[in-house]
Order: sequence, then C-alpha cells, then structure tokens
Amino acid sequence: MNEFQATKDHAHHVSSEAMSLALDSLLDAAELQAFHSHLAHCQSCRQRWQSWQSFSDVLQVEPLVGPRPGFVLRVNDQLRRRQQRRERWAGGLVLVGGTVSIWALLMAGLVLTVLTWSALNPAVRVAALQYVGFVGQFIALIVNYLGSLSRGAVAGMPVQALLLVFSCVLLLGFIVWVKLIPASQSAERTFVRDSALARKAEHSAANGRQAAQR
Amino acid sequence: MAENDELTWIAAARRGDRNAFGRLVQAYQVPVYNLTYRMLGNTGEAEDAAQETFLKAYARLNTYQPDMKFSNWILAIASHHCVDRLRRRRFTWVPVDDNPALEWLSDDGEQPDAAVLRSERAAEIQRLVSKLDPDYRAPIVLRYWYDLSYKEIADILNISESALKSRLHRARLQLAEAYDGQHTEERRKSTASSQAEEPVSPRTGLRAAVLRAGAAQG
Repeated sequence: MNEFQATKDHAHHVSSEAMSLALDSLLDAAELQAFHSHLAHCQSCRQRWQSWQSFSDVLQVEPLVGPRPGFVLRVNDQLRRRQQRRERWAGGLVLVGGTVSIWALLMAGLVLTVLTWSALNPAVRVAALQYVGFVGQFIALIVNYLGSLSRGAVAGMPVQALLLVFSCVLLLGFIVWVKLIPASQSAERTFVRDSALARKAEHSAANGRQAAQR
Repeated sequence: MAENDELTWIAAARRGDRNAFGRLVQAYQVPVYNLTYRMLGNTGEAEDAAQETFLKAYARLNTYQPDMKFSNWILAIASHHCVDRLRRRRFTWVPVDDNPALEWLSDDGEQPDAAVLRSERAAEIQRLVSKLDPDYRAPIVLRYWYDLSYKEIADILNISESALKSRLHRARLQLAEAYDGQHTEERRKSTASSQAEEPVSPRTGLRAAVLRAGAAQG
C-alpha cells in the first residue's frame, strides 16, 4: 500500500510513484481499483495520467535499431588489432625482462664465485681486488680519453661547423621519421586489404562448397 | 538461437576462438547497439560504444557466470560503459536527423511520407530520452525496449529493486515534463505557422511537401 495510501482518499491526488507503478502493472487489484476510482473523479489526475500514458505508449512501440552492415567484421578487426598490440607489448616485455634477468644471474654468479674463492684463499681475494682495481682504472682511462677527445674536437672545430653537423644530423633524423610514417601506414593498409581478400575468398569457397553439396 | 549453441560459442570464445565470438556478436549486435544508441543519442558514438562493449566482453569472458543470461550480462557492460561516457561528456548534442531509422532502416520500400513520419517519431523519442539524466536513461531503455523485469534490470544495473523503482519514477517525471514541454512547443509553432503565409519550420515544410507529393501521385 506504501506510495498508494494517499490515493484511497479522493481528497488527495494520485502520487507520481503510483502512476509509475501503474504503468508497469505493479499495483495490486485493490490499489488499481482505488487508482481508477480516483481518476474517475479527479480531472487533473486524469490529465496527468493521460500524459504519462501517451509518452509511455510512444516509447513502447519504438522498434530496436541495429548497427550499419558489417558490424561483426569491424568488431573482429578491432579485436585482432588489440591482440596484436598486446602480443607486441608482451614480446617486448619478455625480451627486456629476459635480458635483464640473464645479466643479473651472470653478475650474481660471478660475484658469488669470487666471494667463495676469496673466502677459501686469501691470495684469490687479493687478486680479485686487483682485478676490480684494474677494471676501475680501465674505465676511468676510457672516460678520460673520450673526454679529452671531445674537448680536442670542440677546440679544433669552429662553432659554425659544429652547428652545421648538429643541424645535418637533426635533418637526417627528421627525414627518416617522415619516411617511416607512410611506410607503416601503407603496410597497415596492405594488411587490412589482404585480410579482407582472404575473408572474401573464404566466403566464396564456402558458398562453392554449399553449392556443390546441393 | 538455442541456449546450448550460445554456451558452446561462449566456451569456444573463452579458448580464444574468434569465429565463435563473432557468432555471439552477430546474435547480440542489435540489442547492444540499440542500447548504446538510445543512451548516447547519435550513431557514431553508439557504434564506438557498441564495439567497445564487445571488446570488453571478450576480455572478461572468463568472469561470465552462466546463472545470468548472456544477453543481460552484455547489456550490463554496455549500460555501464554508456553511463561512463555520458558522465565524461561535457556537451550533449544530439543531431535530430542522425538517426539510424532514417539512414539504413527505412530502405524497405515504404512510402516516403510514412518514412518521414516514422523518422519524426523516432527523432521525437530520441529527444525525449536524451533529456534524461545519465543514471535514468538505462532503466527507461531497458524497461521499454527490452521488456525486462524489475529484477533483471536491477541485476543489470547492479542496484536494488527499490532503487530501480525510484529511478524509473524520477525518469518518468522528467519524461512527462519533457513530453509536455515538447507538445506545448509544437502547438505554439503550429499556431504561428498557420497564421503566417510561409511555413515556419523546415521540418513541417518537408513533411507537407512529402504529403503533397504523395497526394499528387495517388
């Protein structure tokens, strides 16, 4: 009786909640009788009810609309593209992860071996430290050499020549980038066209088989 | 479509069979597209949303429980997706003639005047639905176009039945207001156009021209 309580009394108007339930045929027999007996006496509620019924009837008869033809193919293409993108990402992650893991394992193995040997034999520890020192010195030498080389090159070349080289490199990079974009677009178009042709061929083969069976 | 077929397709699609998933798309493209179109109001967005719904469904197929109808499960994905889109949208613009009933459904050999009347009615309905708040559109569309029970709609929208009752009631209040407003405006326009020499509304003019052409042919 909840929302409809007020409608039993003709002095009160029918609530909009009751109208909503009435449209969905959710009022019980007693509620429905009270509802209609109120409408019979109340013009304002009757008008409101007619308006609610009108838009409800308009909505009721409107048919379902479907997408443009070829929707299934479009969804399938989207699905394929997403899967390819995911596979590329997964492949890249496996490659990077695998490389990092292998290097980490190699380094861990090396460190463990050196530590074990140096624990067993003090002479090995001394030798290992010497090697570490040599490696450090070697890296420092290379860094120093490269630094002096670049300083010498900068000192030896005038600023204009440096700017020219820098501009040429930028230009070259830009040209390569611009060339890559249409190449990738054309590859994508070719792939889409080939897929469509393959589907068409498959479809005609299936039709041919059906015709042969008949 | 038999329920067994559907379960077979779902199982195959879960194993990665895209053809089986294609059959599910084929079977549910109209209900899903209709929901997205009714909620979003234009064909371009509706197509995007319907495609996105199927892609999401494919990604989440493993979470589907057969105790819910597959149609309701996929409509739930579509309605949540549309509500998200509507909330993100800053401006609502629904072109009146951007209407699938006009674009590719009226190609069934019907008379031009009937097609115009039908498309006018469809546009009127779409204008009504587009005036609803995002949270009220899905209950109305599911109730009127899919004829689902309160329980089914509540399950799809993931709300209680009492919350659904309240949303339907509020939605109908908004619809009644919009419907009355629309008709008052139409009456005002028709009075104005009958007083003027030339028709004021191009839509009225188009309709009249089509009717005149029909009468001349008849």
